[in-house]
Amino acid sequence: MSDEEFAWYEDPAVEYLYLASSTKNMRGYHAPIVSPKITFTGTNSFIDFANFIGSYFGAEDKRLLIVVDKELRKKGEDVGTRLAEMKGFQIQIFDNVLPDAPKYTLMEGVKICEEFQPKAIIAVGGGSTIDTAKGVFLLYEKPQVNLNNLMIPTYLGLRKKINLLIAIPTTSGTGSEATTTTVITDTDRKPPKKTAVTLYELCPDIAVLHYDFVKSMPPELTAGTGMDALSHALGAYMLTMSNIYTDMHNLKATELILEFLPRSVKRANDMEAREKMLLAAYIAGVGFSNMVTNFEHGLGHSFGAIFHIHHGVAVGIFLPAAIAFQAKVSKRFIDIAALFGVDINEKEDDKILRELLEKILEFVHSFDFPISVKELKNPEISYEEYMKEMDQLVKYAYKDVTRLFSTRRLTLSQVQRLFEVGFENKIEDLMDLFYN
Amino acid sequence: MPDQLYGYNGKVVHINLNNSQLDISDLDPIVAEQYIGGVGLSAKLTYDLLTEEDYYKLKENPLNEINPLIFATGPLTGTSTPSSSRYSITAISPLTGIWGESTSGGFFPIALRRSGYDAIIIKGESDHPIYLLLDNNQIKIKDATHLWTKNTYETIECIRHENDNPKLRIACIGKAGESQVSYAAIINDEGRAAGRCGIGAIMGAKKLKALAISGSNPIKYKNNDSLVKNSKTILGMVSTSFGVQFYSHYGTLSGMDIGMVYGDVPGYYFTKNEFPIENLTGLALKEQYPVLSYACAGCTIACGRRTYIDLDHKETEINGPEYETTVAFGPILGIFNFDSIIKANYLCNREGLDTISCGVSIAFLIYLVENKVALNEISQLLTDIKMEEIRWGNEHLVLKLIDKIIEREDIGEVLAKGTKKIAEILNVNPELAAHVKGLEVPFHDPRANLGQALSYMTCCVGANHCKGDFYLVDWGQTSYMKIKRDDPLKINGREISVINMQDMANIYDSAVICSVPKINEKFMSKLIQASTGFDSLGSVKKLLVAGERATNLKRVISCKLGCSRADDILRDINSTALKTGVTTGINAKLTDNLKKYYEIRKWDWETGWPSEEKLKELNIT
Repeated sequence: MSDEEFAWYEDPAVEYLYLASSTKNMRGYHAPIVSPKITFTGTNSFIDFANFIGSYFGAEDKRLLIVVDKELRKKGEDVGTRLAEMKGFQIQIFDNVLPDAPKYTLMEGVKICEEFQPKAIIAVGGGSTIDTAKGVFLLYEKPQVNLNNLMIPTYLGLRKKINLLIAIPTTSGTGSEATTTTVITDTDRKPPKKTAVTLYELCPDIAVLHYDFVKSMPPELTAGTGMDALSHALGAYMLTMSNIYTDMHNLKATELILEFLPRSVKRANDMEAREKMLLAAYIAGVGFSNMVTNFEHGLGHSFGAIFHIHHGVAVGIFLPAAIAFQAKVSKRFIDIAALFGVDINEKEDDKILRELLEKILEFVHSFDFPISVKELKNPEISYEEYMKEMDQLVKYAYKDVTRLFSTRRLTLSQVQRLFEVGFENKIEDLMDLFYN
Repeated sequence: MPDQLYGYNGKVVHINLNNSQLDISDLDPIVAEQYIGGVGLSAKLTYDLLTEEDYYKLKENPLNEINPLIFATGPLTGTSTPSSSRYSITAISPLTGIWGESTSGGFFPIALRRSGYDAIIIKGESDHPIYLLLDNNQIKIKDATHLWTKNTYETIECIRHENDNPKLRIACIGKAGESQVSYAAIINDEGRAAGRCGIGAIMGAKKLKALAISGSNPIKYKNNDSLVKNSKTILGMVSTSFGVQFYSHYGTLSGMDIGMVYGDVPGYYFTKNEFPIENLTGLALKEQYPVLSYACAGCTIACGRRTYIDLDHKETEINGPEYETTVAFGPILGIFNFDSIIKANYLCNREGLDTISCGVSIAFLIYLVENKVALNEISQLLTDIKMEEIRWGNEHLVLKLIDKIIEREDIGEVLAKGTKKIAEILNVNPELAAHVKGLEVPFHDPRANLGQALSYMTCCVGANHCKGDFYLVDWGQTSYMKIKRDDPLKINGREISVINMQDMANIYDSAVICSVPKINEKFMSKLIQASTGFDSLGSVKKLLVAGERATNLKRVISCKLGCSRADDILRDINSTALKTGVTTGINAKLTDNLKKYYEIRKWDWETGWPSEEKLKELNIT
């Protein structure tokens, strides 16, 4: 495959079409609501799930592929053992899960599927694992599909071989258990190319949200994935392509995160907080997946790739800038400000925004987490190092699919401005994004 | 010469209001073939009517009684062609002083088409208010003294009542036309406006309150089967078109948030293009108010809106708001909620005002005050409005100013003359006035689409987005004449496409049909030939020549009234690059592109006139 080929969303010919499709009017025209068919929650959720899946398949179809990364393989095996013992399933494990799902690893999973012929795929893990499961599912069902040509909306008629795609998240952030997107690195291309694939049919059929699967998350990971969830909810809410369905999810998710993320970070065994954060990440997943993420994700993707920063940390750093930037063309920040406890009555818009931005920074600092590049400890990034990579940062972010759906149009110089502001996230700099 | 005219009534009536004399003549088939009808035919009739002395008088005062006011339809009006209920109204514009034209839909055009006349030419000036009643070829001049000062809704109701005919279709003026506001509109069918160029003021000057028609005159078509067959094919294409579906769902407001993506929606008197319009979209309108669709006669698109709001504790149906009106009383004034926009829309419909020119004129005043320009001059014109009230986003001010414009009272007297004159009267830099040739720039920002900018600069009536809606090309919403979409911020090498779009607009406005379905040139040719039988119009190339002929003849008329190349410009306020937003750094002066445009048009770069060679080529003598 030629390295000239680009993903559909990088094609200048469709760029304007998709910019236009990010409009509110378009959402009155095309807005399918997608979420898992059944989401099992509560302390009995795994048993409920086992009973469901046990009765779903006949004896001749009880074959499950469990996708899990090497680190969590034990958890995957436990799930498999329990389902085998309780419901008589045959189990195969695929554990070659790598970040950003390289296609060649997915094809290994596909090969296992061809031999084992599972009727369901269960992902046990974080975002990369669930993305890998989605990728294996897609390529097993449609081996010839061109990953770069799947414009939204495309309908492939999946589930001819796999009846159920199931996600059991082990982090509370990506929301991948409820989303229609997977990120695949197309290793057939030279150089390999990371491509976001969005298909309504990629949304898992079943999600199991049980705190047992997240209780071992260390505080940094809890905070980082929590910031990912917060970025999903707040970022998406700021876009005017939101609709009633996404609004109710994104606002509720924000409420839950504000209350339970600090508790989860502080006490790993605060199980109520753990469960609420699982729900919050899932709800935010439904919220953003039924539209798109905001451009803090485009900035975070680029920053994370270049400086090897955790996804949640990276997108969280650029969340204040994305909100301030969009605030110039949308007053939706006022609703968010109310959730953060800002008094919004009889106050000028800029004052409300300023207070909201202060509250966001304060909230993240409340659990000792970085919310600017300068605050990062591992690794520390100096201003000089950061600026040295600026061209590359801007180039990657500008090509990110999230740029196409921004309510406020993004030019290259504006992308650079957002990166510059994100270094320190000074309130005055953030406010300047709103004023100019 | 054909022995029978198909597709036409075959008659033109001249009505002289000085002496109430009617003069009916046959429509010249050669003129019909060359100019088709509507605005093209009206330009030819005007050109033949006016003497050099008349031009001199009209240059002095466009409201002079010799100004020929022409209502016309064309060979596709009211046929099976989709969205073909449309008529044209032309005169020398009181706002611009050059050729003026406007078109409107509704149901009135069908009545006019069936009136027995292809064009109604009204000259002279009555000594008292009158209205014209056309009832199947019979024309009566009726007293309208009792209707004078009545608003357009009341006028329509009264005329129907006193003639005991609820089916009368009526076009009329309100107080703005009576008081000869330079951008007064003609309103037909309760809220359909022929607004641009201020031709309502010509009706006011002639003391012509209304034209009421009951028509059922049959029209013979050369090949009705072909007309119907092609219309059905087009209807199938139209109903599945993505853009048209949006028009059906959201009306012209479907352009609001798409426009924001391109930096096309201007705000704060063309100085900003980034602001929150989320509550001003087509969907937002429907979420905030009960909104029903409105379709002109025989139209399946139904892009019109009927919005229900509480007005003085009474639920009132408002016709609109559509996109231009929403910007006119919204972002261009720093206003971002529908309530006052809809009320302003209602006032303009009720009293007959062009919403674009009205909104831009008010925005100009606010811009001057906000920038502390001409404060002394302005303060002398204020009575019950305080200087500090004149600021962006003041909804009450806007409604108050519209009233003052209609009454031509204190500051309203100046605002009623449009931005070009406002700058002259207040003695401010003319480059701050947002107009081309005196016609206020509509709300597709020229810096967001340079093809549209060139079209504004060269359009026969001044800045009018409907006479070559080039922005739609680069939005991917039109695909005719092999004109391809491209980067909206580049126009080099595409000047010919701007010209083709303008000439095509003339075909629509001469045929006369609505441009929303964007029927392509091949189908237009087939339809016009099926209607008229004119073989020459059955060729796309020759059809476009008819469009080009109309463009050039109108240009000649305007040049005779003093228009020159110096008028083919966008003022600084519309062409200087903005410092933020999508179009940052883009300026729309386009001198080189204008030169190319002139070369292709074969217009004289020094004088702005079409060359002798071109006029000869087009048989304009």
